[in-house]
Amino acid sequence: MILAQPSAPLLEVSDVTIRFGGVVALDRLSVTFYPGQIVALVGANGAGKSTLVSIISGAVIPDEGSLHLRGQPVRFRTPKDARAAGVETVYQGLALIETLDVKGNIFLGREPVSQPGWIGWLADGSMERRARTLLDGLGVRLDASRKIRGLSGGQRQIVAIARLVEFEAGVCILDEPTAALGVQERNAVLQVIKNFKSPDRAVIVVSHDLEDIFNVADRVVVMRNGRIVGDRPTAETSADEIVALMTFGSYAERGGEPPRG
Amino acid sequence: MADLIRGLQLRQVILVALLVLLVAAVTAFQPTFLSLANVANIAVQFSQIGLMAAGMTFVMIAGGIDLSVGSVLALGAGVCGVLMTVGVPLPFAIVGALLSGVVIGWINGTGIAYLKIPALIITLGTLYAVRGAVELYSNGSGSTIAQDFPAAFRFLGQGSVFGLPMPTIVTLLVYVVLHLVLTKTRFGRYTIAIGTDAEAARRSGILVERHLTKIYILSGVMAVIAGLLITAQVNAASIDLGRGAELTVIAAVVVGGTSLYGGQGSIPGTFLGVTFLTIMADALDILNVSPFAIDLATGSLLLLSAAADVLANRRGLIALRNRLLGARETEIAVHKLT
Repeated sequence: MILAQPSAPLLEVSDVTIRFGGVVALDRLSVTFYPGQIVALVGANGAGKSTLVSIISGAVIPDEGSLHLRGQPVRFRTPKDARAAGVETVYQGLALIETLDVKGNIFLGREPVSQPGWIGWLADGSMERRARTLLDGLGVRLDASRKIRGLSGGQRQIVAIARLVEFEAGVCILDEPTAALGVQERNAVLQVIKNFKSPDRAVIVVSHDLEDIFNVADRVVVMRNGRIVGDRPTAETSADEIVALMTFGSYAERGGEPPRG
Repeated sequence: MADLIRGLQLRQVILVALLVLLVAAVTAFQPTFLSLANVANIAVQFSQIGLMAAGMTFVMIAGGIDLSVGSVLALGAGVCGVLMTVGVPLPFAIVGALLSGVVIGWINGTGIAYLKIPALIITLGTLYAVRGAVELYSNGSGSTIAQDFPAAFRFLGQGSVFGLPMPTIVTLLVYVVLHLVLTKTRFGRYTIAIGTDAEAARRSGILVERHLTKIYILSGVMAVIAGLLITAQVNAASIDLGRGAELTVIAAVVVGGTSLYGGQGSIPGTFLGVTFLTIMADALDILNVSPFAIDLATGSLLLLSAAADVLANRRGLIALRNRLLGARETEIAVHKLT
């Protein structure tokens, strides 16, 4: 039984292959992402998760294969192209400006300005209101005027996610969002990710934390050696199965049968 | 105003206290310190370093440095003077001088942003090259390359409105405008962003290289304006103008609270730094203390300020301060939606 997918695919990765030197990092890899879903992307180190993310986010161009966004073929030559198409990635460094405040970071690069536009006079009041609405929309109480420098890791992660909401990103990739967070913060961030789910966006969470994955994801995609070895709804799999897939790959991949007895 | 007070750093508060003590102590020994004439004198001296310091604030917040300002000051004065001598009308001569500042600023900015030459090196290069060019122009025929300017021009340096010297009025206006630019406009925000984390700024779509070039152009223009005001004041353009000024300018900016690490600084802070150094120099002068004492005092202040900067930016100390102020780090309240 597959997950009911009422909407059309948002992002289709088809037969993507990329080689670095003699190593095949991704091997005829195909995967589809649907809006309204949170997909966990898992795999051991070296499985190819980062490479796949690099291709989707435009940092790397595949040697073979194609990407389709909303049914249209796309080619991302740079991360800028990807961002322009609504594909946003939040890397572990978060790329927030410490000396600015929450609203300054949410709008960084796209600040609303008062007329006349050439002066670039920041519409602070409107940014404050909009930031508060965004944070409320994520279920968070956070003062939009606080400097990033004074915020905890979890709060910063939430600001980075709020930025994606403001940008109306269609494909949102979160790279290890709960890494280095304490339990309380981790739960808060996971709840925000769940609140972040929406019919207009496909969320991809790269993670190695199985507890987080089963908490937040609708679907798990397991990678090994540059291939997809498992693609299951989280409701129909278990931590054991995921670990087995990550470590040994799928039985079909190995051309064998599951053990009996 | 509330933002101003909230943003005060400890060392700025200390500086204000020291300043008050200094003024009180000097006036006790020499009452003429607070005379109208001396205050006007201080106000004019303020503008000589103040304008360049305002430009330098932007440069340092963006993580750079501009050593060429002293030479560009002389260049601006020289270009304006020479143009006027050959009969170019005053407004065009001023525009010509400003353009020369733009050109040097553009060279600095492009070298730093696009060619990735360290700011220290390229602005050192322009410092020498520009000063050399100005000296070459005079070619040993004395240090004055132009003099006897029209009255309209002289008014900029010698005139006053409601008792305030013109150079001071110009400088204060510039300070107000630049403070607003830094705190309330996109330009200021991008300056702070780039100085804190240029790569993060770039990922947000900010055109980092273009912005850096504009900042160095700003610095060049400030130096030219300073040069024009001094020239108007003494009614002569000299090739020695601004020699060594860049060092006092940088000292004033750092003493005023702008971080050496970039991303932090303010125009009011620079105002404080320039005011302090100007008053200190004038005080030592009026007390007939050796001029070398001024250098010693400036150097000591700079070292103390730099140390304070390093301390303020150390992670451990920030965490300690947060704990002391009772910052609650890990309570994020998130509620479920639907």
